[in-house]
Amino acid sequence: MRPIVVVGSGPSGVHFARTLLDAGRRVKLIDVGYRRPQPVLPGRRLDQLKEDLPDPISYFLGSDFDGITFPGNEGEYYGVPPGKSFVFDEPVGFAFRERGFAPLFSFAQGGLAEAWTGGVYPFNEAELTDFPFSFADIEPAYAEVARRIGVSGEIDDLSRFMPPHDHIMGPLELDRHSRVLLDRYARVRRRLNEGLGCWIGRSRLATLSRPHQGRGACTYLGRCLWGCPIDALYTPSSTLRECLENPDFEYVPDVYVTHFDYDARRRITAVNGRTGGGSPVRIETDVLALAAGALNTARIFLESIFRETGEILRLPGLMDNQQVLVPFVNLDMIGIPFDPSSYQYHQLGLGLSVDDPRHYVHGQITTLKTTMVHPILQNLPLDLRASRSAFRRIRSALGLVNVNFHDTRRPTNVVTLAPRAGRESELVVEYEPAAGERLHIDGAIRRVRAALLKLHCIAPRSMMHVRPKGASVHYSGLLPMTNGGGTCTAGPDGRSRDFDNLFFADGATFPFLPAKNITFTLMANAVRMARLTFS
Amino acid sequence: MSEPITADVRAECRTLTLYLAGFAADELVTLSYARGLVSDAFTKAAGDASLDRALLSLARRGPFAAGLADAWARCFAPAGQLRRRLVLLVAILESTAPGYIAFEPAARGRFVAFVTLFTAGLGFVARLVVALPVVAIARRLESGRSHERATAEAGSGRTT
Repeated sequence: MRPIVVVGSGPSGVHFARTLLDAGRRVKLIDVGYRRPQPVLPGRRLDQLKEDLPDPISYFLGSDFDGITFPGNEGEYYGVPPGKSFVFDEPVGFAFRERGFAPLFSFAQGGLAEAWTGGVYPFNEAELTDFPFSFADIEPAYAEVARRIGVSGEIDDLSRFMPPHDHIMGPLELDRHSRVLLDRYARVRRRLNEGLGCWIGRSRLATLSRPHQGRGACTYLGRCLWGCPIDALYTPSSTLRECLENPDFEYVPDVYVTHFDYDARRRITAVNGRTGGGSPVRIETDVLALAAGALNTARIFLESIFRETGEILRLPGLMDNQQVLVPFVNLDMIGIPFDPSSYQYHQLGLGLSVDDPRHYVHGQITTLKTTMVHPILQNLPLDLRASRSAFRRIRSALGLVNVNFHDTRRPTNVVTLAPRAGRESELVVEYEPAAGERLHIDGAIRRVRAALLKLHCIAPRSMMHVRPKGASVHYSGLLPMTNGGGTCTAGPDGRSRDFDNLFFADGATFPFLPAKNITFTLMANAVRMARLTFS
Repeated sequence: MSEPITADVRAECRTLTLYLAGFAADELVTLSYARGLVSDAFTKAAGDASLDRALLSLARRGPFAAGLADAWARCFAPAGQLRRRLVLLVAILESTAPGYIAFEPAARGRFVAFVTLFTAGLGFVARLVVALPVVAIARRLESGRSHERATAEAGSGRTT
């Protein structure tokens, strides 16, 4: 029996592969696999890097200054730090076009989760209604992933939205601002819960509060955004390293997979791609698992059918979380000192209950600690000298709620191909927001701002930012798992209904997208599916 | 950086750093500023060239004039050349020692913080009020210079 071929080393791919290895299977993982640079001065805090690096400008701003957010450039508050640009590098020949959607692709070792913020949010029973399995079915897989990657957190008010599971270690040390917010919440808790349907608690994080599986605990260097230099914040490349220690595992990097071949009985026979240098690669296989990320998995699936039949399919149901950024100033923190030795990402979460529990709204509360300040200064309503002066007094008081909204599969949101002569087809992504989405968002944002006000925080409406569709990178829904049949769907075990020896191991199979970061559930679902068929 | 830094860029960097942070730029900041001005990330914006020249010309006269030009630009040309150059410089300063100290929190209690916020706002308004006529004059002067340049170019075109 030939090894099972897995395409993609993102969170789904590595945990699918790891589960197969645990079950005694041989695995060959194919990947483009752009690698992150070695961390610089791993023991230093962010501010110490400015003192100690020989070329801090290149590290923080990039060799061509593309890490600077200039005024007039459309887009986000922050760009990608130069040290993480590898996450978004694209191979030669890959092309896409979009309408109403700004997709991000990753061909990096570890995939898009190399740049995630570590939020661990298990789906609850209501959110799994459309899935062909229950929470009880996936709970052991959540526990297994938590055991593998290390999850820190607390069972608190947010647990009403995030079901507990095994292997949750104690939480990280809270930064001062987050502590002030949580203390204030304790005083106004009842008014927030009953008046606004708002609950606040500790974020559950894939960041270690104590050493675990050979990785060290967080040492509060304030460098999360630039890439944790000690791997306390989990990324899938850690699991890939574990897989590489197994003699039944083979990693094949530098291969961009274009399509698979299949025979007349619709059984996949080989995977095709090419190296970075353009040389063709063909790997024969008996079982193929696509875990290239929902959009790339869809691309490989569509291209394979197009090459064999000439037919261009349209896959409906693309989903992504709408995100709204709500900056705030905490009046209780103005003029208070700031500790650069802090965990940089969100440590608190905010949950809004909604009549339909599937439409739960989740916010990640990030208090401003170490960060680049030029994107903020240029947006303050003052000249830059006055902005600098004011900013120094309010820096410790600034924070941001990243509010996430659910999404559903709709026929208007489609991924398809546009063939190109002599080359691989172009991926086409089309998206339209749901009717009534605006009202839902406006209502939730009003409640978030009201809750912040009760926490003594002012959130100016003019500073809010609705992120472009596609920015949350929680892509899913194109080849959904169902209990029934149908082409371009998968069974509860992720097995394709079009090709008997093809499995979809990533978010392409999600039939619904709650307002939660899906990375933890991607990993758990990959474990669950691999166990169903191969254990 | 293979090209030598021109005296104009060096002087501009010094003036703008004095305005932003209150100290003179060191060699690393000056070198980085010169590199940044020719980087792809910086040069891909276009705008009103005449207005940009007027504001830059005013800002180069000294830290006080830079404050006037910046206050005006914040309201009326927030994505123009001057603001982009200032943001480039802020990004460089905050990435290097000792420049980053100028952006670190200054925690001296809530009362001092509120007084500072008030005076910062007041300073901005005062600079803006002064800037309104000053920038108007600078634009007129720049317009005159542009006209002279155009006339001279047209003249040299005829003689060749």
